[in-house]
Amino acid sequence: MDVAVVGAGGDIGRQIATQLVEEGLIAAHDRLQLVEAPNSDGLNVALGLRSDLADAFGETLPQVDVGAGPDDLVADVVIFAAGATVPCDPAAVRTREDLGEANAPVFESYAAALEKDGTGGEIVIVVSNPVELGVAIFARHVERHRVIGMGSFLDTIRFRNEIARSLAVRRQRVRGLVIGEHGPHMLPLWSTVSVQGMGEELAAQKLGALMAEGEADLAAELRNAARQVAAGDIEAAYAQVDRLPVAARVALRPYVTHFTGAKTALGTAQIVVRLTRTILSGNDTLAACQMRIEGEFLGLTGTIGVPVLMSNAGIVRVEPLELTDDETARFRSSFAAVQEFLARF
Amino acid sequence: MKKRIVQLTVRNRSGILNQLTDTFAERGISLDHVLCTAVHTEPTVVLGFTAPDAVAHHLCRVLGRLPDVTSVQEIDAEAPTVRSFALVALKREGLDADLLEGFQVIAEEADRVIADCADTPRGLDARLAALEERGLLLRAIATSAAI
Repeated sequence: MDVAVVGAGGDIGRQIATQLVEEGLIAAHDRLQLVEAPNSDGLNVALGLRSDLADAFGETLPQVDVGAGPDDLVADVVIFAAGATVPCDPAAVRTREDLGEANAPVFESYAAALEKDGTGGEIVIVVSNPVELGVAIFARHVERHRVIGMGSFLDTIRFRNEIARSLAVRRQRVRGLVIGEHGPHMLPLWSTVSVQGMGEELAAQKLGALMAEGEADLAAELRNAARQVAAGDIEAAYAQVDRLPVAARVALRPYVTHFTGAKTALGTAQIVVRLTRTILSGNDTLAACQMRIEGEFLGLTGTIGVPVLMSNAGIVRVEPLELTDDETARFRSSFAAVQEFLARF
Repeated sequence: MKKRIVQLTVRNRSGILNQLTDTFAERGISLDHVLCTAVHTEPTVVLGFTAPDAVAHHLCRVLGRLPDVTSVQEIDAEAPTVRSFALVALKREGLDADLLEGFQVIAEEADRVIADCADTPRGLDARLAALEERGLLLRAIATSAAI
């Protein structure tokens, strides 16, 4: 299948393109399209990246095509990583509303182009934030089961990672999903968590202790971490994050990494590539992602992160999950917050 | 589904046919017709296939993005006038009568085209030449229609 990376000149887009090629996910006879805005610095970077990829992977490189703007976009799988992002400088505040204002027209222009010129069979993976807004806009133009927001997929991996760190096991031993918003209203589902190889009783005991750590004031903790990064004390910032409960660490650690200047391009790209591999492989996989639901989950209609069965056709169906009463209430609250945010655009 | 003819101007480099046919094979679309030729000395490949509108549009856009393809032109091979002109071109070349069998409607339209141009002997040549100028490969169209 042909894969396009929109925003290929950006930090994350560049990593995604590189890892797709490095992992051999695009066959030599397929096409990797690097798309950037016309006459932009990003387009220059994409042209350079094509040359660099040829240097690095000349033996196996698929055809690499550089496209300028929505009219050039043509692929079976579209990974959307374009648009504005949170600045690395913690002092340069950019809210979700700011990101939404900046990125809504970008989402709209590419979504409209896909509707006009696409086959209707394209799968869109939205990486850019606010991911719910991207999914909502693309789903107005592309059949909603083919629009996948990777926020909850990313949060799920990070959630497993934080549990694994706490329990001193490898991440692959931990199961568990995060749904809801990709943002402050994300919802880690402790009821879905299990740890392979630890024994049920011990796992329940240790997980119970993690759950009992409670929650943190995310906004206050973020300000603290930002201050420490700004003062150049990166280790203190990470140490502060390490002391937080699991759910708070899932939300805050990526911010600290971003503020350091290292950004989160490598981890985000790797997780996007995993999601892409799932789609390209044709295997059905249970995952969590943002999508537009129409009554399939708790009878709600809107855009939000939910558990889904995914395949090479996109989202096969929303997977029913038995949530606890507390999780159900918190999901509804997250849903309401996201829809209120989306209603502004 | 509609029969399609796509005319591609290409760079004459090794592997170009492979690039083109892979694009179709990857999507499970079988090629009915392949013609490699030159139009006004430009290396040209003409492909005939059958596909729904959306898929054909997508394929043309993908073909247009290939590094060795410089232009893509879809020709409406089912337009009666185009087909009749194609048939005229073949008739003038002494087309095998067997190939005409089963294409009576087009053949009749072709006769009408010839009749239309009868008063102006150069009219038919001019109209055929005009189509050639636009890059229409009449033989390819007619042969594809026959398939």
